[in-house]
Amino acid sequence: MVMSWGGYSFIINLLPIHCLASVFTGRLSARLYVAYAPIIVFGTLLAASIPVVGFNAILMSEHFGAFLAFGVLHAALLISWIHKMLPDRAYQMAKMLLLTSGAIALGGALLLVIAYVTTSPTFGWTGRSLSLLDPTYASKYIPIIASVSEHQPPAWPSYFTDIHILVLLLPAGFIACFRPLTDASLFLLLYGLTSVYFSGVMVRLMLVLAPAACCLGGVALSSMLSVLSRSLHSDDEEEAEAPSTPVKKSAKRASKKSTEAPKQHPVPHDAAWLGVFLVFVLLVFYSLHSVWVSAEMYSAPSIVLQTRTRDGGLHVFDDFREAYSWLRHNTEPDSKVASWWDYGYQATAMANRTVIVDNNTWNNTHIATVGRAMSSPEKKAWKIYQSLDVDYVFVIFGGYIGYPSDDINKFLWMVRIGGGVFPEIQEKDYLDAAGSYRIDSGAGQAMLDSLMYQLTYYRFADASVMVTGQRGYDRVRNAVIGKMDVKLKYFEEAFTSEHWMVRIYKVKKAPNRDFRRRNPQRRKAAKKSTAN
Amino acid sequence: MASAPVRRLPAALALLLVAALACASGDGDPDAEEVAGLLRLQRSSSDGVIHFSPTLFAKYATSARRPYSLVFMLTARHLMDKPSLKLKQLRAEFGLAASAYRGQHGAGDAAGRVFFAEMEFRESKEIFERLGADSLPFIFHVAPGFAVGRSGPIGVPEGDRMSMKDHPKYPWPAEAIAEFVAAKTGLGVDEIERRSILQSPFFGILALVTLFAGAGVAYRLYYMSWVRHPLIYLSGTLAVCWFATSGGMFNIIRNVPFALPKPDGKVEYFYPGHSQQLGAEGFVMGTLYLLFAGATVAMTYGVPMLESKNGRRAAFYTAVMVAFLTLRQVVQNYQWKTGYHIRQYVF
Repeated sequence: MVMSWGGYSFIINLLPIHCLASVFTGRLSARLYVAYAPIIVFGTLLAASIPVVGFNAILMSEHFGAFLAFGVLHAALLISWIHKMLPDRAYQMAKMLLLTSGAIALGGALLLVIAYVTTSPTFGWTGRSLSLLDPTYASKYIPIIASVSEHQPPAWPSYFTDIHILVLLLPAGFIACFRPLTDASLFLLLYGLTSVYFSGVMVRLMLVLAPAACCLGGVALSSMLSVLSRSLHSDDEEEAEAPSTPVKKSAKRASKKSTEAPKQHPVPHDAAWLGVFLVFVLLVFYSLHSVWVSAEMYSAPSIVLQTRTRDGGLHVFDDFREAYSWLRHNTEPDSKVASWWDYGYQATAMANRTVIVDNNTWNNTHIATVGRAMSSPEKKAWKIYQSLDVDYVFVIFGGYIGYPSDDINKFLWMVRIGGGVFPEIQEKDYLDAAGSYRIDSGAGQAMLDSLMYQLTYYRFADASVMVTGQRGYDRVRNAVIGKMDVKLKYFEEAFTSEHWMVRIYKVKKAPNRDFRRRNPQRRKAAKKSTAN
Repeated sequence: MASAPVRRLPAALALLLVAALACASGDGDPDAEEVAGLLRLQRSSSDGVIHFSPTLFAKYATSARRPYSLVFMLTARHLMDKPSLKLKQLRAEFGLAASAYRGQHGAGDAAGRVFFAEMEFRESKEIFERLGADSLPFIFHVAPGFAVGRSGPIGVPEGDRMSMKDHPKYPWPAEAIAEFVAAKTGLGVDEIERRSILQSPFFGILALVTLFAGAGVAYRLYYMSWVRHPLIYLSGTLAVCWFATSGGMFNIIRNVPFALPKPDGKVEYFYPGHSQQLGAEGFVMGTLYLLFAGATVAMTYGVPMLESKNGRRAAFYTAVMVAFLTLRQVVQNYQWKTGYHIRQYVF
């Protein structure tokens, strides 16, 4: 998992939490040791052999929790071992000695850790994990994390869309985990609890919540169905004599602990039938919802967009594929393409061209350079692109058909990410006097001059008449653009897709015409006029 | 014995000199008197911000020329708690800037060149009107040469007022306020001192003591029976679950208000649109989820405990009813909010 996703730090922290919880709730056993200790040793060794992680597997404080649990596990086992060996009094003393020395060692280690982490600006934690613990961290300090839509916190409808009735059954599942609390149900409980918290911080972690929610919902429904079906099997008239068991293990434990376990009576047949029927209806409802969500939301690739026309038909916007295939067939195979990083992987795969930045956000500076170019005036941007050896630049534009997630709406993030590395870019220059983001004539001067604005709205004023009947009317921002006659000197329009969603520009090798060179004709005319 | 009057003479002369000087400074230089008065007020205030009442404003701010700059922050007591304005934080930052100025320039050559002051809306309504202050935050600088009359509008130049454009990060930190003041008055401060427990030299010791005390308390607690009661952990778990599924984090990160007052005096609790929410609606939904779960738990664990058969039947039907109504309400809210309706492909 370390190889595929940085989310492994969730697992590497969840397992120690479970281990610690087991130790402190008196569930220490050889099984726990066999399950946990090797995973820390081998897991750390294997993780360290992944190039991007390397020694971070030991140095990053994300992994410290695992080592702490490893130590505590050994200490706890040692205590239980000497408990068996020594008489009671000696055991108490030995335990105190061990705990005190352990506490001192831990204090020393903690001081070292604090000294180590305070020397790094993010306290040794990566920004992504810090933003889970302090949810406002990312939105304050790391624009590259806060800008990504999957890193946004979900509002409540997200839960109902994604996990539907499971969100209603989650609390019931948690309660079922407590009746009784076993090693396994403790794990499920901790897994559910941490993932439900983290999914609240970032919507992408709904992926981590989903399996936990399925298990918890399953536990809730299964314990309910087992009560109902047992009631159906029991004779309606006869009250159950012996304490019949809703969950086997609970009875085991209950009988061990005390003899006065509450009597379990069967639910009347009619009510039980109704209950079973309603659970069935609920599950059918859930399946219908899941099919619908998979069909309408998860299966719609964001690369091909579709809308429903009024008569119920489908209208497909295939601009992305159109533009990528144009790039593939009409440009030199070794040409380099620059765009905002969101489209990097797509362009690499579908256009088969080298891109300057892609969705790998490991190197922030590179993305900031492209952000800086997009936010700079044309000439400066051209110089930056020249230095990056870029041949084509493309921008995504939705103002023609009303596609809201286009580059102009992402532009402030380009400014912020660019400004994070290159302080010459100031966000306030791109806003109007009141500090709001707009594209009409009241927009900030830097906004109107930026390359992104120019490439987006080049020749747009005339084209928009065809769609809206109004010159330069942007259907996403619902405003008339501030600069109608955009002229390009260093870039040349190469391709614009059917619905204007993708606009590809060629970066010229030299500017359009060198305006500093004098016109010989004009010079003569001037001489003539002075002679006269 | 004549030495006694002679000895007293220098003392008397000195007294005379002091009195003369005091008179001179009192009568001859009203500016110095004003500065002294303001310095006194500045010293007596808790953080170096002088609270200006209309009388003080008339006394110290209205004239054609003053030997000092005044930096005002306008506040309103009834808006202090409004979350979107963040006036409380701004006032604290303003106080930090003021105390930094007081600390570095409270005495010495630069003493009495800049004063920080605040005015409250209800108390100084008339001055607010004269300033044309119809919105907050409003921090402005009154230059020494800026004439302020006893009545009539006070047109503070645009450049002398802090704006969101020049200082986009709001609430403006004390550093930004100090930067603004330094740009206007030419008098800067080196560093704004924020009192923090981390900077104290005892922090390390304190942390260690807390750590060991905490460990001791935890050790004691560990052996107490009530700590192991599952109900505590159960309620904690349910609280986290309730908070997360209500979108509580969304409320914190996006700083959304609990509810929106509408222009017609009503309050809007539910906000349409599937990617937005108000604080209240999330918690309503979270509570509905808990209600549904409670009903199912009652069916599973509660009902079989009842002795009487009819009691069990009634309880089961009630729980089913509650669960059904809750689920219906949840689905209705969801459909209203998102506009999604399930398309049934089979039926």
